[in-house]
Amino acid sequence: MFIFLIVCFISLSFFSLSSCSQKSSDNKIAYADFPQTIELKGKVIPLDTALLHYPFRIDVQGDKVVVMDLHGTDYFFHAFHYPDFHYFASFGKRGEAPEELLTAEGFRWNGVFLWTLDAGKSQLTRFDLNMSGDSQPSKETVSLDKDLLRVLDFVQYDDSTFIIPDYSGDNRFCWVNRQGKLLQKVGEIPSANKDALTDARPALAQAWRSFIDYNPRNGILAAVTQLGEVLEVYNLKDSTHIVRIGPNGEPEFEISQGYGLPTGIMGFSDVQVTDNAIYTVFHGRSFKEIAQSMQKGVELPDGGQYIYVFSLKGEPLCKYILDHYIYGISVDEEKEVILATDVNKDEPILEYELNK
Amino acid sequence: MKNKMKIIGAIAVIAIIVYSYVQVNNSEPLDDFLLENIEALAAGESGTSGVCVGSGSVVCPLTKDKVEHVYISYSLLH
Repeated sequence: MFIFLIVCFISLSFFSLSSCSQKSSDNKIAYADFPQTIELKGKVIPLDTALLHYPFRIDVQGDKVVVMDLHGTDYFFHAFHYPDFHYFASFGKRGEAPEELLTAEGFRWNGVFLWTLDAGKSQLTRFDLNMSGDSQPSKETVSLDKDLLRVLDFVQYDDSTFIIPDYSGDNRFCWVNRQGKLLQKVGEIPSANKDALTDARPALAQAWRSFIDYNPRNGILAAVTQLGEVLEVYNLKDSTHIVRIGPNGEPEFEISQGYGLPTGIMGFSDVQVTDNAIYTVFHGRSFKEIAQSMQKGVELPDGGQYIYVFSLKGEPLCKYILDHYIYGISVDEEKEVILATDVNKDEPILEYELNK
Repeated sequence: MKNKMKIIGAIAVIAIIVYSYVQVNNSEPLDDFLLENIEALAAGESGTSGVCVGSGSVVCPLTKDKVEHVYISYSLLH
């Protein structure tokens, strides 16, 4: 009997320790405020075309700048020469035809090419912007694995791998190869809501919808939540993971029919990892305030009035207060300039000089 | 005879533990939509419902459109 008990004890210990080894260590650090606050005034960039309805993203590569229109009626993407912003092409035609896009969620430069994401068709499309005249850029389409639930953002890890936030709630990120095949799912939503982690992961994942950016030079992958105030910093070179939670806390939501309905606040709307820091756009407006204004017929500006800057370890460095409400940013650290989009204005492109 | 019974009992217990461990660590992932439905039921939902309005950047959980706001309405449970 004694031997029997010892064998049981050893077996159970082995089983328990194996299960415990999968738990992540506590790496959550709260932040209250920023050591520096600076007010910035933007310069409106005049455009020679008025075709932007909801300019959600902007990014510069060399002598070109592309603006993504989230609610574009004809085309989702518009290219301009940089820095004069002379318009030269629109691409990513909206429609249901095979070569058209149902939606546009984001884009990433890769040399002269541009990868775009269509969540509706679950496809990544590569455009070549080395075109001339009015011709449409040539393209390549990658259909994403059916195991990937609605893909709402992506980054390119290297020439053959993409990283995508996991919208199923089972994990935090999906690694996908150049053919769109799911390679692996890693991490976990760093929520303190244990009930949701146990019983309602899809709803939790909807509430934790995050925007991401990756800088291959320093190996930093940053994720910011659209609801609440959470920044995650993954150093893919040393495999460390830091979670920074601001005063507004985790994304808040209510569950209805399996869906996560947003409550709490609108949080971040864009993130960019540069060589030295992490730049984010922060809104901070509560859904209660938005609802009350809608009921009164008052239209609040859409976007964030703040750019929060964090170190590559997620420490708060600086808070910029802007004279516009913005959505997307493109940071040039060398020139100390941030380009931003304002969805509320007819002239929606702004330039902020950081050293002024 | 007693010793034989003890050894057989111990082997049976180890086999059950090893089998359970393998099942937990190698379980096939459930279909996501099935999982979603199961989890919705498990969440014990109340009379909360949502309505998506406007045009914005929030993904409507119900329609997947990008909306400005998701109104939440509450109904009393009977």
